[in-house]
Amino acid sequence: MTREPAPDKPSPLLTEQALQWLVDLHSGTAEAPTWDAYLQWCETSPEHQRAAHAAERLWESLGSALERPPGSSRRLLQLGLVVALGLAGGLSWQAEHQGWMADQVTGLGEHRRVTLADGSHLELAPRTRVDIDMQAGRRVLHLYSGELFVQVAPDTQRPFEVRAGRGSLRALGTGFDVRREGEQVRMVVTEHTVRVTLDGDPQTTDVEAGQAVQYGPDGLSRSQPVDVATATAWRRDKLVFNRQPLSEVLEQLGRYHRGVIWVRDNSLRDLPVTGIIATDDTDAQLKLLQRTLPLRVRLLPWLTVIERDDSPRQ
Amino acid sequence: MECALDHLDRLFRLYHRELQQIAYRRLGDREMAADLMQDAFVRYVGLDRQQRTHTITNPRFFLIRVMRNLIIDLGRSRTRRGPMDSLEDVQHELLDPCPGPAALVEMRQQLQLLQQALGELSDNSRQALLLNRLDGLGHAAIAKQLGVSPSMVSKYIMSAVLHCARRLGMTE
Repeated sequence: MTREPAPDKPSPLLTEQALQWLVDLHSGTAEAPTWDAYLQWCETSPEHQRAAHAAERLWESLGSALERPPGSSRRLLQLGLVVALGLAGGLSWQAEHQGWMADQVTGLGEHRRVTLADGSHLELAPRTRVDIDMQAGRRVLHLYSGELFVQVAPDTQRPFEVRAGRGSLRALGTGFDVRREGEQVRMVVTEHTVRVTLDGDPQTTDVEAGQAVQYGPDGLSRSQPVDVATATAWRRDKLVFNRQPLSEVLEQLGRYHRGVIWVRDNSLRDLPVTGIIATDDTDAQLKLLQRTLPLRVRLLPWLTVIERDDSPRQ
Repeated sequence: MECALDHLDRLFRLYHRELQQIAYRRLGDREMAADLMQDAFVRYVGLDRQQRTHTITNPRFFLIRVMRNLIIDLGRSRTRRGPMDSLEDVQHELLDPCPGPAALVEMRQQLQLLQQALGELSDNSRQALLLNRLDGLGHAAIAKQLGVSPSMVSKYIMSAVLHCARRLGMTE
């Protein structure tokens, strides 16, 4: 019941059928159909799907229409209030979930080492998805999400390339580390040189060992010197932070932590965090944050809530 | 606050297995199913508390819908077949951070139409719908209260819903 009316209205007949499903699903009787059966019905065709959406919307709004005393429009305005979690929006979600069928997928907290057919060594951080494409004339890794370190075996006939987001990173005889979060890509060179090319840009940038660059929707950053050991600490199952915002720390820690981390108070996101975090016991590490930052961490089995707490630190 | 967390925790305990099962049967991948289940909960958690209690009468229904739409969008992103509409569809309904004036007017009009339609129902139909949608009573329990058969209750509710759908121009 939002947006302008769709140009192609769901079929009345199917809408009626969908409503019957919903009535039956909520009957609370033994004969009630299962949700699975209903979802299967919805999947019959796109028309079924559209009718189901329309019916569900009506069914849901019936709830609030019944409840609301006629004439007051107060509740309607509250419809708009929302706590954003930083993951609203289909596009970032899409980017995150691309590569679900990738050749190599690491799970939560999983650190995997792979030797490729050409002898190159690949290390994958947790929650990483990568496709490996080895052909006669080229070697390409597609990084969909997560982080990898690669030590490239020399082969002058077959260039080695990592494609991530809107750019590609070509090894010029090299070890380097690539991290992708959504469309943001960061690359650290540990040995020799890597050539960075953004899609649709004829220019290339060579990045030397000990340097890092980032690129994303805003283009390519200048290369900057970094502490390579710190940047690749994950390979030793540690994360090292030096005045990085809490949101970034949680993002990285989230790859090792079961459940959702929810920051209740947006002002906490920018708090600078410094320290070394071992990735094997994230619950304990999260609790440690309470010692130095004005926040309180509460752990539920599936949800970790971080909220502001300005009482003095012990 | 404690209350809200307890509520979320209870919901999770109640429904996470069912949701994960539904996702698993569609995707055939346990990790993916677990992720989508969590995603659905995160979206629920992300709602403002007031909004949650005022607009979601049935959290399970909401969660299943969100997850179903996540699955659809996942399929689309895999095949790059089309825009990511279906998730936006549910989100739009509840998560639109600032509905434009046109959307607000439309929502208000729809709600008015709905309330009008509800006013036109027979007593039994309205009563059955109310007990089912608001109090969460099953058809058998409503049948007892109204002194009719459960299948009659089902007919009452269906006719109430259809009447509303007609009023909103959905079934003609």
